Amino acid sequence: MRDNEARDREFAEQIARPLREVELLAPDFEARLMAQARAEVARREATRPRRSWWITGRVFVASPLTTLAMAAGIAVVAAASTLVVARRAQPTITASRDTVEFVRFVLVDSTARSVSVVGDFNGWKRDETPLNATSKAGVWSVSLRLSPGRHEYAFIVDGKRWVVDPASIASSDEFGTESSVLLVSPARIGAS
Amino acid sequence: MAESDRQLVHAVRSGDLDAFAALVGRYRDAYTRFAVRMTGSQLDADDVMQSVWMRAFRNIGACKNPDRFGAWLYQIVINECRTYTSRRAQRDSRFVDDPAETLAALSVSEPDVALRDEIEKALECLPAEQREAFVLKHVEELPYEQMAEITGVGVSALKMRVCRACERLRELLEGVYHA
Repeated sequence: MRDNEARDREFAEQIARPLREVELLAPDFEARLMAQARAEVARREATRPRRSWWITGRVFVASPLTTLAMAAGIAVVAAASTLVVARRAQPTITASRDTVEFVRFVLVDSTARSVSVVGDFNGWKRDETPLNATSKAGVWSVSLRLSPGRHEYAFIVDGKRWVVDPASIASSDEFGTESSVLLVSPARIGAS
Repeated sequence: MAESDRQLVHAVRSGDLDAFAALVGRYRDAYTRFAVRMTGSQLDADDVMQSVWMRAFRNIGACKNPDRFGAWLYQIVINECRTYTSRRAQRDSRFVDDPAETLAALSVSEPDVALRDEIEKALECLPAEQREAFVLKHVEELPYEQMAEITGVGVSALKMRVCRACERLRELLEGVYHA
């Protein structure tokens, strides 16, 4: 048996050795790729839907003392905007330096005993960011301060059930796992 | 100091094309050899790698652990190579499992073909899943645990595929090697 294994290894090594030679892509590979990427960005910009006046960007400036109150207010605006426009376009929560940068995550699930949010902003750690039960039955929420940019997230219900935000655009990874997409960009608060 | 993969991935998510170029520069040829061995030609591997990078660019938000961007990219490379070989198998009878025909072609019509070409042609005769396992194990020299992580296939199944690939290669290359 051991002789067979040694013989197999020796044979595989003989076969593989010539195949380990380094292979390089064409010198213009990067130039062609970056041209494609730039074209894609330009296409996205050109096809971005226009915002209605009522969801056009707003800048909210807040002192630390009023931040919590502002966050609650924004939650209402963001949740309402998201619910209304999510079927048509990707929700965008916007913020800038010196403005409120809180994003409120809300999930309605009357059967849930616990809810947390996972995303790129917390390393997808399921225990890192629990949502709090609000005074309304079945409504869970948490406010987070997020950096501008594109974020992906999902909710974890009862510590094990992966739930994408029903009011947001979904994105799939290589293995078909869905998560929700949130855009936080500078200077405006609204949805695009 | 060079920016980490995590920093670059976050920058790409914010729309920074220079950061994307930096990632491309960093991993440009890391998986080229695998793609060439799986597709059988540099030209096809170039197409596959263009698709790989554009998929990575579009789906960068799905890279859940930016510190391990390289491993995530490897998964895309493997998936793109699978898609490519599967499509080609449907349209190109050259890759239909017919070792006798291939061996005849090697020994009759191309008697002076280089050793490496003979091995590459034998490799192309393997079913795609065996070729993938053999290349990852013996050409890329990855441990089975890492192979399982990037292919999504269990270690036992991978060992079986490598074993069968070796058996098949031995049949195909009889006369070239006498091991």
